[in-house]
Amino acid sequence: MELSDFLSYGFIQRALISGSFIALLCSTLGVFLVLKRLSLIGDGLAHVTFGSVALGLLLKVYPIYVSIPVVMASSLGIMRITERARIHGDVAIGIVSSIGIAAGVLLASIGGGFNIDLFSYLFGNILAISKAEMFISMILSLVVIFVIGLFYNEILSSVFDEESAKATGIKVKKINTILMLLTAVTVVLAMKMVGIMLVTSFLILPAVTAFQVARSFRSVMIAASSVAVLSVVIGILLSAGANLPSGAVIILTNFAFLILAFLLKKIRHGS
Amino acid sequence: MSLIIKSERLYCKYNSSEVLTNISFGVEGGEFIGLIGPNGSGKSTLVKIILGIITPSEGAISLFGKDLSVFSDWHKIGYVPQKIVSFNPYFPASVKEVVSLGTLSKKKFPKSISKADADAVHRTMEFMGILDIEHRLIGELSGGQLQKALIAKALVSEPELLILDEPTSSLDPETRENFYSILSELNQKKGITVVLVTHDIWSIGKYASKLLYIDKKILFYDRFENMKDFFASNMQWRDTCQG
Repeated sequence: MELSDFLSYGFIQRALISGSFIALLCSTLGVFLVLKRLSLIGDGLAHVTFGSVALGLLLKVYPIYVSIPVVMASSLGIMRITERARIHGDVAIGIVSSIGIAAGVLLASIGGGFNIDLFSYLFGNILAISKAEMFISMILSLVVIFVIGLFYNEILSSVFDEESAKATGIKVKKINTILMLLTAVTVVLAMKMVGIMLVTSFLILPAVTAFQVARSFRSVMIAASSVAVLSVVIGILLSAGANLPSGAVIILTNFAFLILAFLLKKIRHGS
Repeated sequence: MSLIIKSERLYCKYNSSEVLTNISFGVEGGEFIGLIGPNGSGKSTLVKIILGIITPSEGAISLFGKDLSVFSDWHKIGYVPQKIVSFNPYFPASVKEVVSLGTLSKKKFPKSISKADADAVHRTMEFMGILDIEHRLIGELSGGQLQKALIAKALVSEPELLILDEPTSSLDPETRENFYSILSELNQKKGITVVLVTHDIWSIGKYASKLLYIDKKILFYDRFENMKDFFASNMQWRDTCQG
């Protein structure tokens, strides 16, 4: 089968479009989250999503309606625990994440019978994205990137050095809240479409790849987005051609970019 | 002359231990204050209270005649933090991008960087002698270059008050002297009021117009020349102030 044959399939087109938008969105957020040492927040909030979807299914409410407020509150909880209890972000993520997954297991046990629905929310499938989900991914990406654009310099200043940012009159707490809420909405909606594995990897791998080669923060943003989108496109086409699981191939493609970037950095530094 | 910083009966507690007790002092425009004291004496806490980063348990701070709670002219203040603890040394931003962040204090929402800001960044980097490294990553700089970049970031908004928290702790003696000369030039030629937190009392003495020596409370606030008399009658402080 030729490339043009693959591209003629609606599900491949939707996977390429939605996957690219979600990759762009997650990689943009991921640059800031990795620098704030919150790289595992995607994984942590995904576990909370699992718990909240179980709650929604138990209450017979559309799960996303329960997940969005619960995951937003959890992301703010992570921020609060880090600030108030003076513990590192990874520990705060671990606390919220384990509570989320424990609640999910408990509710699934109480509810019984809805485990299949629950796991479809957790693992998603990039090749099964509907038209409506494709438009949601596009709108979500544009809204989040627009908000990041509005606060770009304030976020950058806060991530670079919170203390100095406060001393220049930047409301660091407000900026952190915006970043956490954007992350929460992104994780909930993107997870349903592409699954926990891809969301977590899109938040970390493109950013780390860009850090190896970029010579300015602006170029980090461009490199991270480019690597993420290219990984989706190459990954989907390779997986379709070789009949392999697309999510795994996308992640391994991204990992290949990371290795290349690392080698390029080594060559540049002459060692 | 009007007071740029006025501290009145300031107290600060962490948990139940008192970090600052009854701190009252004033800084006039054009002064160069050396803020000194042993480790754990509350110097950095005092700076953070002045900058509104920490809220004191009691007391009041006013900046440029305005109470800190209503103060909003942050572009009048440039801040150079303790480099070692303040940021990730591998942060992927160029020197030019970091210096540009200093222009944000003048901005309302949305805080974007204009052509005029870019010109100000260029001028400030030229003044600090770091134009040749503007495209280098901040983590690739030497200690002296990094301090110059952070000072440029603090200076780009043309502040009237420059506060520096132990900026020389990782510098070699020659770079440190060079650094003090820059501060002295900013103070004397540009009229910028300087508050410098340091352990290095003997070097700073020849540049500072006054020394503010604290160890949870104010022990000495006067000209460096009068410090000898203070030490003569308070020998127990002499060793501690060398950090």
